Amino acid sequence: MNFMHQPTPFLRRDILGGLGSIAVASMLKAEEAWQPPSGLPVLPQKAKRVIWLFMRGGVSHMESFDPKPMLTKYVGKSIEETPYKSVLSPDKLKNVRVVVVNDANGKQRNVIYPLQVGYKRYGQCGIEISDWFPHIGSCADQIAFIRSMWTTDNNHGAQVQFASGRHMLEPRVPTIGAWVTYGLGSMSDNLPSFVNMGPRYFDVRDGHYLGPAYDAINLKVDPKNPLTFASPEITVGKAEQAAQFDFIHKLNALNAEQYPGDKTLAARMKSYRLAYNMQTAVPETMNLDAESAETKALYGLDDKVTEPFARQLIVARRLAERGVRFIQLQHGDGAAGAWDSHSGLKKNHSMLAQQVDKPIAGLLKDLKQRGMLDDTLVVFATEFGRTPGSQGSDGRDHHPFGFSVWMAGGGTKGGTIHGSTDELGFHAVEHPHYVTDVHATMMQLLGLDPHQLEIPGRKRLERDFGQVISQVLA
Amino acid sequence: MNLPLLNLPRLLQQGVFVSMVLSTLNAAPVDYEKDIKPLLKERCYTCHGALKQKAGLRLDTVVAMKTGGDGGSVLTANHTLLLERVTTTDKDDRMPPEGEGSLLTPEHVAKIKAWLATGAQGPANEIPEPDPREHWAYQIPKTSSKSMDALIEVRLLTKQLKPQPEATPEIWLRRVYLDIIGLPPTAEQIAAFLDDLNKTHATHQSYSRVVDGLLNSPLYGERWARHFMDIWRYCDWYGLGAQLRHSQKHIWHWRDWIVESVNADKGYDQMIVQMLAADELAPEDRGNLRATGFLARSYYLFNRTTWLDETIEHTCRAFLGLTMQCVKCHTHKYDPIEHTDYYRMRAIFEPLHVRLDPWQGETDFEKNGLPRVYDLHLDTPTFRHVRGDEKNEDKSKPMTPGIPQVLEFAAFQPATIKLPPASAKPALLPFVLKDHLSAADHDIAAAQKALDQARLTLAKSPAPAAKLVTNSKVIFSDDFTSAKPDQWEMLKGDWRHSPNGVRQHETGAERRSLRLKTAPPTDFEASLSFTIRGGEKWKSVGIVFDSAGGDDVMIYMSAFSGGSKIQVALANGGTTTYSANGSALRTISQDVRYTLDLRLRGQLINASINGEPALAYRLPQSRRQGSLALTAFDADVEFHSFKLAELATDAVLREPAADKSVPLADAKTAVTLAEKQLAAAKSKPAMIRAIFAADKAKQDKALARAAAAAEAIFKMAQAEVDLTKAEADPKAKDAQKKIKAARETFEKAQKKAAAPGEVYTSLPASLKAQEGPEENNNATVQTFPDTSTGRRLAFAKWITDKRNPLTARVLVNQVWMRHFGAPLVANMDDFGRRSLAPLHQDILDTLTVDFMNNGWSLKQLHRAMLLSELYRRSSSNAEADAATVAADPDNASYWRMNPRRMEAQVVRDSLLQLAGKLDLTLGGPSLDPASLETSPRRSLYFTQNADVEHRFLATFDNANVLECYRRNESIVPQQALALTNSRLSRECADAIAAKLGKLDVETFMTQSFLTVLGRPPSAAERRASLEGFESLKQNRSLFLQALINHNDFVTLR
Repeated sequence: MNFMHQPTPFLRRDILGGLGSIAVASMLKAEEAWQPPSGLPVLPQKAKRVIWLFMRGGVSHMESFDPKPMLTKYVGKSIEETPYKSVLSPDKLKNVRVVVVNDANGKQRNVIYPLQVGYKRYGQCGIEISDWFPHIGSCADQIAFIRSMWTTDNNHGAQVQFASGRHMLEPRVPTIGAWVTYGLGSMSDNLPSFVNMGPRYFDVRDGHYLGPAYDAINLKVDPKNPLTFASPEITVGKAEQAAQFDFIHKLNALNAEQYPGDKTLAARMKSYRLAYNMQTAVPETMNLDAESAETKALYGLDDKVTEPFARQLIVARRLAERGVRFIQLQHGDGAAGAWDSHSGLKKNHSMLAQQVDKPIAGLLKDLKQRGMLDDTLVVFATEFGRTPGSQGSDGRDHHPFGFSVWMAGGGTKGGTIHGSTDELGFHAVEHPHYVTDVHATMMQLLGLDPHQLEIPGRKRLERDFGQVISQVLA
Repeated sequence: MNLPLLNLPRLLQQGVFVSMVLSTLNAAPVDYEKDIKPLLKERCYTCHGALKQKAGLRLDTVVAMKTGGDGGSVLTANHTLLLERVTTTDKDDRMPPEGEGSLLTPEHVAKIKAWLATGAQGPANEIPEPDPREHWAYQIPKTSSKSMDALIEVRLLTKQLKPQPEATPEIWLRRVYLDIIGLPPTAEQIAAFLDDLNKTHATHQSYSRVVDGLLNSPLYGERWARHFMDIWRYCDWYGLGAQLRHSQKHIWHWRDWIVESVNADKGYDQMIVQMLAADELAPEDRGNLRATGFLARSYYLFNRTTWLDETIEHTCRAFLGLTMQCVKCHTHKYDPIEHTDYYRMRAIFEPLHVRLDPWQGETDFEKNGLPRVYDLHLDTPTFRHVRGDEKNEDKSKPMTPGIPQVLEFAAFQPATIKLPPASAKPALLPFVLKDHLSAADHDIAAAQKALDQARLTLAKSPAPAAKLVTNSKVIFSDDFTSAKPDQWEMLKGDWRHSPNGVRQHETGAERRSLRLKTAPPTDFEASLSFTIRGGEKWKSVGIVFDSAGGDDVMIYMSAFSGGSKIQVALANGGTTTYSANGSALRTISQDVRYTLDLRLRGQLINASINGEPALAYRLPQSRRQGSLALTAFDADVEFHSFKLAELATDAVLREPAADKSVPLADAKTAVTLAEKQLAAAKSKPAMIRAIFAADKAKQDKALARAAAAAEAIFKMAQAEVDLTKAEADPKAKDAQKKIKAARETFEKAQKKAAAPGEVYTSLPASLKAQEGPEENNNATVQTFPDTSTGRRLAFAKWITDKRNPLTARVLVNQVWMRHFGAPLVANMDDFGRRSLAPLHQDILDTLTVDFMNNGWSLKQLHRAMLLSELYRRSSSNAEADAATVAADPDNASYWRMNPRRMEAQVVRDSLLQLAGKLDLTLGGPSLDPASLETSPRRSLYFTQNADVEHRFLATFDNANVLECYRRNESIVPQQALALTNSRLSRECADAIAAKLGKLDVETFMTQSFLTVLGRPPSAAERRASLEGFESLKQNRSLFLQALINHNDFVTLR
């Protein structure tokens, strides 16, 4: 029997890299109580998959989803001169941990910079959204906005922090995508359960102590070359190739008996199964010929500004349809990330918003019309907000004290605003949420209890688990 | 920021204060150890602890606080200085100072108040923060005088861990082969080893023999050079297009030096000294000058500070495990290194620059040269960059070269070094004169050969074709001054007659013709005189003949700007062919009058332009009867005259073969040019000798005059060459300018030859690297300082001094990681205070002491590790003691071996080795990276820089050229795809199958496993293999490729 035709449970849980069934035998002797996750949800499952949209560089919350008219009112004044000078009290600034000492960026900017864009109300909920995101605005009734996020890294290492909960100066730990795929396993035999599209910089791995099997697979949207060595360079018959992979698998399985608990061997076996199936499944997923003209237009595939991200998002939907569990997209090139508007914020943000606004709205609408939004969780995130004060003449600096993210679908409550920042958009004041609260909320919706995923010898901090933001749940 | 001498706190005596407070307050319980000390440690110790004692104050014990600093005790009264300074709103007084940390929170302050209220109690005998100088890695390592196995054994016993048994000899053998030479053993080598083990009962000697044999193989140097290339950031030059921006050309000489040094088991200390200061240590030792490629590699065109920053950072991380990059902007937060230490170290490298010296046997620096460093800016001062800002130099205090005090076991005293003449003037290198003379001789020979060839060509060049012979019978002629509708039929076009002839004005890609109503004879002569006046693109004019039923032959001249030519075109059945043989490039211009003469005899066509033979062509098919027409194709053209005659029987026609010639005038020019070039080449040796003599004598005026004169004579000859070239093509762009320039150069040189003076150009025997993109006369610099500051040599000797506690330890840790799969000190490049004393410090230190005592011999170090019991241990958990697995799942105590994955280069090289394809040529210039998947050379020889990505190597975590202290070992499906789908893997499998030959199936199974995995199959594997073989339809190549994809292939078990 060819291994790709075997019943799927074989693939799903027993050799998923880090701590598979073989490792368990020896592990159980040490800690009888511990069980590896079954790959099944332990709580009622609302969302089956996640599309994680990460805007690299730091999106200004004040110019996207958290309007602050006081900035315009007090333009040019220092924060001390406004009624809100208490935002600068040291105890409120204490959580920041400096990574780059004496960096020119990541400083407090005390001269108020006015809003660079107008706001309109959208949908039945009437939520205000900036004029740079009109299409996302048109989906407001499907979205739960969280306006009270905070983090502790004042530099772009906060990207690592948002993905993993750990500060850049702490040891690397698995990212949320790795935890989700570890907890739930795969829904597909021919696609990786965890993929990444778009540039990464600070932490290009995900699995860390869970093992490389939980790293995201990097994909490119080019159907001819979605990943390196995608097809045989010397022709080999399909049957022969299948037999060859099957044989490789059998040999490695025999090897696993000689090397019980060898994480790398388990990961390698998994990588071969995936590799085999990916050869056909990945190019097929990247090929958008079968998509209707309406769908393409919905995402903005017909416009060269929106085309690159639109293509990734249509592919994201196709990956979601085909059983990929966690689809991670990074928007914004460069080491720091394109959204990092230390100067020229208006030009930068309006341009970048135009690149993502229609495609993201297209994704939400498309998922909805296909009935997939109910069990697909879409998260829009960024590493931190931007300072209410100006940097130089026309920019905003990094701002970890208060910023916005949003979630849609997958059991969240659309048309919701949750939490708030103060009048200047400085601190998250009402229902402040550390970044892992987003993780906890996702885990809940996916039917996972993150505490049950903890591994002996890898103690997690309470903060690593986060707290569920129950107000955004439907 | 220091604590200034503020108004002294209240004068209450401590005891009085305490008893008073105790009697009046009943504060919430605050625990110093839990609540206060950690806070102070986090916020205050960097400046007021063991690392630094600003204002003479330490806060790391209660006693120290009570003793206080320059401002007196900070715990004296109910309003203590400690409390005052963390609560003040005065920016100048606040602690921590601005930029050094955030202020304490009200909760913090409340706790401090409460602690003070309870009397500021501390534990008895509180131990102060240890002196940072006592950090384990700053202490000279001491040997335990025990073997590493004995030390491991103690560790395992203490922790009650049970070691795994030995792996099989085959597994051990594959480990050492891959570890030492980076290639797997062959089936024969495995058999020989097993045989040896069986025969000799002295098994240790068998193991030892293998290790020694491998260490003595030149393949060892290649394998370990690659490791050092990771750590030392080997990088071929790159930039933008032809502009070199990073590293240096021919930096591969440094790579070869690494390979050779490793193979020679040169002491690691010697290697470091040579890489940092070979030019100072032994300036005439050219072989070792290659070592300074280590410094040349960091060359950066645009910014010297970037270059020196990289030099400082990576020299310290690679050799010392010291993170100097942290102190570029501020004093180190963890280690006792000052901001100024950074700039003192920069002062060591401040004079540094890079140049190419000549490589023996080559005078062209594009082709070869020796990248090397030298001190150029001997007196350039170094200033501290305030907060690391290069635009903000603290000019008040130039930095003296030096090393961090914490590691200063002896005074840093660089001594100026006097350099030999050839270091200051590479032209004096012993081989330079010979190489230049030999290059000149080569030029003479080449010029002579070119002249001979030109003369031969001239001899073969045909004389101008005879005019139309008078006895040929003219059939028809026309000067086109008036229309002759009875003779010509107009086929398209706008034809207008004038006294100049007839002009056709219409352009565009179609034919416009005048067809002669009288058909020509089969063999004829025709002569057409015309001027092309315009056209959109093709501007073609010609004669069409044999025109019938849509087929015809056309011979035309095209003034197409993309390549003007004369061409025969054959139209047959609707397709037109343009034969390459029926074509010749000729300069054909607009507004120039041409005469095209045709002679046809049977299938043979001769065409001449303005009387010069242009084309001889034989039609591929027999002639057919048809009409003749004059044609313009996309050409505005004037026809001035046309004449048609019968071909005289005695007319001589050329055959095509004889026509590979150039026009006579061109051939004559070529001869003249070749003669001039030969003359110039012949004048060169005299110049070289004269210049060399003057260079060598230095200040001899007579010799300098002779050199200047010889140079002028050469320049005159060279100017004549240029003039001839320019005159040969008077219509070329800037031709007149070139002619003028050449004449001026000639005259100037002529004057100089008559009155030479003493100024001459030295032999181009070095190429100084540009100091910034603006410097463009760098190539003319041929004289360099005749002293060197000696700073780098002193620095290198400090690094390699046995009293330096870091250097050897860092190296031993690197080697250990590469043999045992995990380092002893987790941070390969940071042995500072953030690296706690490692679990196995005794092993590290013992190996380190032995290493230094063995003359820093890498081979001895390998032996110690590879011949250990630990190295023989199995890497499997199978049947392991459960308690051991549970207590130490990550194998921190080495109760088993760690399996490792092959590095990218080892994967590729091993595949080629198994296939029997690996080319074992050592060294040489870097190879084209595009050939990586087709060339059989070892992987370390391909160009690698930040611009090149080898997709095969990248898939297996190739080294990052910017920094690579340790490789990643990822496992991704792309690796599976690379080993199943790549041409490389399949072709190697094919080759192994061919090598194994026609074995019976059972033997084939065994030999396949032995060859690819270095071990025989188990019974279960044999069964699975027989099944697999059948399922692969007994395709041996696919079977072997499957074994290549076995986890054990890419794994060092």
